[in-house]
This record gives sequence, structure tokens and C-alpha cells, in this order.
Amino acid sequence: MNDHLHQPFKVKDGLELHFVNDIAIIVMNNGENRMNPAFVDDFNVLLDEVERNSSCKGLITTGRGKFYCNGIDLDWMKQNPQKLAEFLSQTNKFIIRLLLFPVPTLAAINGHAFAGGAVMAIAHDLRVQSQNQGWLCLNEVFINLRFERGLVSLMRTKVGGGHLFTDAAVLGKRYTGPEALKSGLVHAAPPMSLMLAESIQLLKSFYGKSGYPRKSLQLMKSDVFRDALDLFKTFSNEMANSFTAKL
Amino acid sequence: MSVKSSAHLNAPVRNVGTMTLYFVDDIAVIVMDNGENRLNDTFVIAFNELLDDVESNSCRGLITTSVGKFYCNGLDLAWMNEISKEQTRDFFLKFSKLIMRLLLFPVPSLAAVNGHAFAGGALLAITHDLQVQRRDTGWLCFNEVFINKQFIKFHYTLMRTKIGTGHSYTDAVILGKRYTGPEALINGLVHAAPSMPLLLSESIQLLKSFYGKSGYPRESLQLMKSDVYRDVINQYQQDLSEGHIINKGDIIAKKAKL
Repeated sequence: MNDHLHQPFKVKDGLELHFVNDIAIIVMNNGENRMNPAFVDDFNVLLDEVERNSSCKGLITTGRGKFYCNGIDLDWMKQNPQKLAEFLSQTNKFIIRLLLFPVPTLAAINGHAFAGGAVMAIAHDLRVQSQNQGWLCLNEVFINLRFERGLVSLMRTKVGGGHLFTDAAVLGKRYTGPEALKSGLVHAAPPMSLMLAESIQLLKSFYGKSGYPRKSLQLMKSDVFRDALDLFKTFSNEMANSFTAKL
Repeated sequence: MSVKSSAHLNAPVRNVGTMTLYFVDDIAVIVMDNGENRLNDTFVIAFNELLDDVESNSCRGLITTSVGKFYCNGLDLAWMNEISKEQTRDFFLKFSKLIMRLLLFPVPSLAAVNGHAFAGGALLAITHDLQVQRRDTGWLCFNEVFINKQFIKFHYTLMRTKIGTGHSYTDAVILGKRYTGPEALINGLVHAAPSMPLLLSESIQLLKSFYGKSGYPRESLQLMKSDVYRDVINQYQQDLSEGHIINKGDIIAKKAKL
């Protein structure tokens, strides 16, 4: 999908950073793009570059192929049980960093986004999902995982209350692009060939000519997600137990 | 002299400066007619006086609207540039009190958004029970993020309760999205988006469809609003006692003078 783009500005293992005019695009190109310490470290390095580019006005993240991101790397976790708590803390920080990012963010969901991958997509300001492939799904309930309180609050603010939230989080409903569009989880569900163009256009339609003042945007995000942030701080290790049980 | 959209209404009951109160059957209509209708002391005083009149009348609903290009374009920053820090603090306290008064008003309220409603003007509109926005021109927009401003804490609680959580809320408040009437309608921010000639009549019809034949018992409505907006009230009181409201006044005063 991204073969027509400029050469990447930077590559960290399976992650590529491109700049297309004033938009940064991070392409995950590592199969299921599972989240483990290396993934998070690499992603953070690229986010640093995006922040450093003062002319950048927006960020798109996407995957290549069948997966956007299929969640936490459970194999890695099984092999490294002693590093679990530290990794979960690192992942939380990563999600919060995305949540409060100083430019508007868009998740271009090219394929499956399950569990942690769905959380990652939801942490963005905007979502676009492919019309004809992939599911967006918070399937934690099916695999005996729980959401910590900060995450519940974050999702409720982002996803909304009512049955949309409960279908998605409690019942682990699977959403195709059109279904996600209908229920307000994503802003658009274009065919794959139009994903990037639509994503760029949508992002630009929000930030206009001059973009958002970065500090102002970050403060506004902090204010709006105040409850979630407080809960993340206060209840930071609740999740570790349910993950431990899975190992 | 601007054309009054309410020229077909009954003769005005009362003028306070550029704000006029009419009664159309059992509905009170407040018409603002001061260009951008910016929020300052004069606005707050006039608005409160007319709300007093509405409360002491046995009417069953309230519509607020304006004439021309603007519903309300937000804070009067030029005026804030001229006044003292004390006066700015005082204004913010009074304006916050007005917002809470409108939120808990004892008859159902409807903002007939005839034109631009930016920043504080959008907040004013959203504080009403119902919103109707003109279809063909004018934006509803919480553009604070673009002009380096944040809201007071109770504003977030108010907006979240009114707009709902979900992308309508985050698009509107974090991303400062601009909504035309039809866009506001699709996103649940307003109840209707009629063409301009029908703005007032649709608003009247919508309001009546809610209060029915007899209207709401006033005390009951006020208590229900207090219950449903309990979080907003609590946060407002906390913001008052912790000085967040006058703090916001200081911040705005400082920026206005830059």
C-alpha cells in the first residue's frame, strides 16, 4: 500500500517512518506487529523523530498486509515472566504517549487489530478502517484478560457510553470496517486502495492550514482524559495479575 | 440597522440594551442583536435580567437566538484587554454562574443557532437543553484548542454530559471540529438543522413537542436537572472553592493583554 511513498526517513527493525509533506506515517511491517519491549522501544524512537520535526502536523500509523497489530506478544511473555510487570508498565506509558501526542493522530487500520492492537488504535484521535479486510476487536474477554481502570475510562471517553461501549468491551464484538463506521468506532471505511489518501485527507480536514498549536493540543488532551490519566496513575499494576495467570 | 429574524413576533416585552425579550404563546424568546454578541459584563447583566423576567412569567419554554451572522462568537477579548484583573476575575465568576443558571433553568431551554457559535458561544449553546442550528451557514465550534485556551474543569464535565462521550465529544473538544448545521445534526450535537426561514418555527415546534400540553412542573424539572447534572454541579463548586474560575480569569486577562 505504501510503495508509492518516499523512501522512509528512518527504519527501526520492522517499523518505518515516512514523512509525506507535513504528515508523518509510521508503517508497521512485521507480520502480526505484536507488542513486546523491542516493538515499543522502536516505536518510541520513531515517535521521538516525529516530535522533533516541528513542521509535522499529523501522524498516521498503519500496518502492511493482513495485520494492523494483533496485540501483546504472548510468546515473548511466556518466555520472560520475570519481566512482565515492567513490560506492562512500559506498554501503558506507550499507550498514554499516543493518547497525549502533540499532533493529531490517525490509526489507518489496514487489517486485524485485536486486543492490545485495538487498544492502540483506540488511543489515536481518529481511526480509518479498511472496508474489506480485517477486524477491529477488543477480544480480551475471550482470552481471560482484563482491562485496568485507566483503560476502561479511556475507552469509555473515546468509544462512548451505551451499547456501543458494552458490545465492544464487555462482549468483545468483532467489527468489520463498515460495522465500525456504523457504530462510530472509526471515521471512515474506504477500500484498501484509498486508505492512505482518505486518511491523509481526513487528518488534514481537522488540522486545517496551520495545524494545532502543539502545547495547546496536548493540554486539551490531558484535560479531556483527566479521569483516565488519574486512574492509570493510581491503579497501575492491576493488570499484571491477569497476565500472570495466563503464563 | 440589522433585520430582526423575529420581526414577525409579537411586540417585544422588554429591551435591555441590545437584548430583547418576546413571548410567543407560552414560549419566551430572547433575541441578541449586538453583532458578534461577545460575552462581557453587559451581556451577562442583560441576559440575567431577561432570565429573571422569564422566570417570573408563567411561560413553558425558553428560546435564545440572534440575528445576522452570529449566534455568539465567544469572550469579548478586546474588552478584557481594557479592564483590570479584578474585573476580569469578577466577570468569570459571573459568567460561570450564568452558565450554571442556564443549565438548571426551570423551563426547557433551546438555543436556535442562527449563525456562528464559537468558543464561549458554543458553550453557551450547548448549555441549553436543546439545540437547533441553521442549515446553510454558520459553524458551531469549540475552537479553544486552536487559540491556546483550555476550559475550566466543570466545562469538560458539562460538555461530556451534554455531547456524550465517544468521537463526537473528542472531535468537538480536542480537535475543535467545525460543524455546519447538517454535520452537527449527524453528530448528535443539535436536534434539527432547518433552513433559516424555518429556524424559529422549527424551534418552537421542537420545544413544544417536549413540554406537551401542560409544560414541565418547574420544581420537578429543576430537581431533575440537578440530579442528572450532579457531576457538573459538584465540579463547579469544587472549581469555585479551589479558585480555578478566577485562575482562568487571570490566564485570559494575561493573554488578552499580550
